[in-house]
Amino acid sequence: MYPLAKRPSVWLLPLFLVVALIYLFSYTEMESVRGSSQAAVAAASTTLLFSCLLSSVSSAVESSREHLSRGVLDAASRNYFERVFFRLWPSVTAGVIVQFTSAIILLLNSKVIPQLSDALILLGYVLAITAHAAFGNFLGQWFHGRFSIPLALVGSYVFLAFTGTTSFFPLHYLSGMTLNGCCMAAQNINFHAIWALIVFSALATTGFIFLAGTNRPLEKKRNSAALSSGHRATGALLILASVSTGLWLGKDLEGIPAVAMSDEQFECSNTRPQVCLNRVQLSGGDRRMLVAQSISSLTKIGFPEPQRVTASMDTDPTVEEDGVLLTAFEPSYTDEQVVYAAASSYASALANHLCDSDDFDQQFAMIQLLQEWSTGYAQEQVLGIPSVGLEQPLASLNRDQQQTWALGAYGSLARCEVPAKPGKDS
Amino acid sequence: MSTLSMENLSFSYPRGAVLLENLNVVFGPGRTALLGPNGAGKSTLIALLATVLRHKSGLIALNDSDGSVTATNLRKYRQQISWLPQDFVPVGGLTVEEHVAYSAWLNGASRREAKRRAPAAISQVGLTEMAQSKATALSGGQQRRLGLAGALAHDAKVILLDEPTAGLDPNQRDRFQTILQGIDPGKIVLVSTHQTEDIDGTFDRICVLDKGQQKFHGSVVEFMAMGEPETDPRDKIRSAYGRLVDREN
Repeated sequence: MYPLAKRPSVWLLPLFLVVALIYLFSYTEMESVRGSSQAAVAAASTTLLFSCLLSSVSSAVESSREHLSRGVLDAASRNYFERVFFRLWPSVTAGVIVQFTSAIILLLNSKVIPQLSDALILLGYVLAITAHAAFGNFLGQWFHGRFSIPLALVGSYVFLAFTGTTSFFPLHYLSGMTLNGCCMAAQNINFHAIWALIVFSALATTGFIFLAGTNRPLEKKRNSAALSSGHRATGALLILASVSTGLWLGKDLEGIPAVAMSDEQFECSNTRPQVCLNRVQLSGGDRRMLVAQSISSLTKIGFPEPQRVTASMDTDPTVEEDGVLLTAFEPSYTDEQVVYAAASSYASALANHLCDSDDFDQQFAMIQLLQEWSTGYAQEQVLGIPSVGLEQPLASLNRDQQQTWALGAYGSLARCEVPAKPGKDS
Repeated sequence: MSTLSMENLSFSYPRGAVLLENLNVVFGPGRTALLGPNGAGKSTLIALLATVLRHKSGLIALNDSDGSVTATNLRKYRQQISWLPQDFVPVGGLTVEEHVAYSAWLNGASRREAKRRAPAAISQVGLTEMAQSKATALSGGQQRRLGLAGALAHDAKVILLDEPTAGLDPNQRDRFQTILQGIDPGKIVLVSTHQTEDIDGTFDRICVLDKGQQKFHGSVVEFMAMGEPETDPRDKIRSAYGRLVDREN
């Protein structure tokens, strides 16, 4: 009847799919989603740029074809929403194919089984794509194809680009483009971001469908627009409601749509010190012993011994007061990176609790030097990798002098004092 | 027997003159020519019957038992009518066969049924050889036949054609008249025209509208009886029409 081959979405699909995949492989760090299906599905948001544009442009082409016709649809007995569905489903499906392909590729790279909650992110994508299809359909019904098609392309692109880059964060989540900020291994997605996308897209879709249906050429030409003013007002109100509700749902969101996993989601080892990682961090293998060894190599020479080392970002403890040392851990880390991250934890804790002082630059410089030394030392002790490239004058000191300086520097920085430079007092 | 009736039907455009006023007409099965000068309200009446325009007052009913057309039974009503406007333009990108099937689907046929009915409707309007051609590539006359094929494929009880032969060359007009003559006589076919030469032999009945008022509604024979005697049928129709319609037109 209306063969798929005649649908613009079908012949635009291969082009958009290829470009989306090239973009995905060029700009997405596949290792970053290892262990987290949520991060994988959220990272697919980068290709919304292509799936939404495909959906918007192809529905504008179809819609403008019908807009130019006369006497075919005007007196049709098929329900308006049935006709809209028939017109939009190939455009939505094509967009969903592009989007789900990138999600599947990233899910395969995560090497874990998807969770039920990932479906909500996918639903957000489907609705976002549908909203763009409804937008293209609206333009096609109101304007000639030579205007509606470029308008659909530019309108969708500007919306995606603007909401993705503006400094007003709640706007980010109307398009879904910035969901790829989720998630580090110790984070979960903030579902407010998904609900903002879902509610905005659903209301905007309905609004555009209403607005599209109010342009009846015959009635407009001969009988004024008064007949459809109710529908037009409904459509405009729905668009307004979509934006305001979306912004309200995203009002507390910031640049990254993620929340820290709670402590309960971490599994602790029987090592000394105890090391706590979550299931995402453990998905690449249990390397809690390696973390414990790295910390122990520093506590043996006098660094304060924590009772627990955790990669949780939910709290902000200190070793001295809480006996808890925070560390970073991603499942994609190599052993060398694991030791580096663990040994950096002391310096990172200092950087996270910078003292109120006029010597920020000096404090930072000393923290950096301390990190350089402690990571090199731990890698040498735990993995046998010789420490090279240490900055002068620290490098010119012998091993004992270096240790003395490092411990002294840590103590001074913890007391909000700027330590002496290596070689001066050590 | 199906009837399409109007009772006290009135219509005017906002801030415009009254186009139809208290019109009472009943159309029965067969081909009826809706005659009238330009601006008589023919196209408006056709558009009102097709429900692409909404009447301000009065009733439109297909079969008295179904009651007047309202928002609640609009879908059912539309399933039974087909409308071909004067400025028919097909949907781009489709072949003739696809277009006819799509038209049938839009008017309630299932996909399978629409596909099944399309070839017969195309054959009835003489476009079989063009079945795989692009609908938008057809000539003006062929496009109107395409529109009629859509109406036939839909199997509507009522076919409303607004000036279907306007602007067509004599060959195309003759062809269209022949197709009209082949339509099932059980259907209500209402054709607006201001070309009196098309009437004889094609239509069963004539309804004359002028300034929104019905001036005549009866058989072609009755209509010709009002014309000049001793002239050929075309002249009789022309003279009868001239007597009914204000000369100022």
